[in-house]
Amino acid sequence: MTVDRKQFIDELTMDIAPVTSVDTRQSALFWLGGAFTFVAIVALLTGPYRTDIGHDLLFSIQFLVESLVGLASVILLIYAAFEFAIPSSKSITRRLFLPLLGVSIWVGFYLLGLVHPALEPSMAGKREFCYYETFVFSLPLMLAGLFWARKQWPLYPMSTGLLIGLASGSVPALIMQFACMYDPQHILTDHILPGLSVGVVGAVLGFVMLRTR
Amino acid sequence: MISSKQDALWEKDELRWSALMKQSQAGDASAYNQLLSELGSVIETYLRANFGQLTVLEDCVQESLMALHRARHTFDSKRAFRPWFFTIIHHKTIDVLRRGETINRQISSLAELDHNDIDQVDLDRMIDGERLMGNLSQDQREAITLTKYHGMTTNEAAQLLGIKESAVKARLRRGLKTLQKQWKQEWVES
Repeated sequence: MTVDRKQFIDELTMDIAPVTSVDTRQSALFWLGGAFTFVAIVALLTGPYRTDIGHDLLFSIQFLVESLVGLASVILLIYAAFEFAIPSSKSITRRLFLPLLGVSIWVGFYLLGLVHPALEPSMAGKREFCYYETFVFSLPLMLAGLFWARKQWPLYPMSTGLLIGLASGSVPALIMQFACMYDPQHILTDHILPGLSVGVVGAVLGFVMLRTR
Repeated sequence: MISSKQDALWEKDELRWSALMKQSQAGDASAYNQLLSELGSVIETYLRANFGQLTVLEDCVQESLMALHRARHTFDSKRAFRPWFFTIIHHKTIDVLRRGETINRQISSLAELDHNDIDQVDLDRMIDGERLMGNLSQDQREAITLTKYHGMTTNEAAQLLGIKESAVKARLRRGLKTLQKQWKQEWVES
């Protein structure tokens, strides 16, 4: 070992402060809890939920399943995003596959709903600005996720940002399932589309915010 | 037989490093010092095996150790140490080498720029002062010093030197090419 390196290591290790090892599962759980609570409350403050949600969940298996698949895809997205912020030798493709498959299946349910809707399409409970609400509600979630990732060691800024953006956009898109009218076409264009477009914003912001390691 | 011995050594290192990192995360300075010293040698061996004799080897080692230091909270002792460690080293090394290549590219593009563009570039930031200039011929050094350090146009430099402007441009171009070659030899030694 060179003298320089020894000195360098001595300086680096002198008076080191203890650090808490990051736990991605716990962080993802905190984020999920905070995200759903935040969006559920803000959605309630900006308008009423549909009155027959409980009935719909109990009596339409398809509606229940598509809601659960939506929830599962959000969980997969944010967990994968946070895992991306931790150095690992797993390939990007392998890590992106499952969360993106989850989103695809979720969207697939609404595409299926175009010909075979889970509930009778109705204008009941329609929100005037659900398109914008979905986008705006997701922004604080996305920023929180990006700031968390920034504190770790993200090696793939765009992919990390993309997943955080998709997860953030999917939360209000899923909540709108209960807070806005049910019509697969409306859901696809006014909830899912703005929700998924947050993924693009996330990828761009990730590229900017997460590169400075 | 050899393979099983190597596996055992591999496993022993893995467990020791993981334990040392756990202690380091708790604030144990001596464990951390031991860990970084051992990893420093591993990084050096890894770099030599993958990139040959790098002149920036020690820089790479120290930057990698710094990266490990900054990323130490991201190590989870429930996971394997090596993938985490080598992922950081791999990316850090690429960063350092890419930085070297960027400097080469900047000098390379400078050599190809025409007179007007060259005047607008702050070459001073890229040229490592007199050490690099020392290898140029007197003519080339004059041309670069007058235009890049004193900010003269090639026309003004030509008048001062009492030669044609085209001659100044030619000396400038050759000088920059020499600098570029020198950078390559110093930063990307085979």
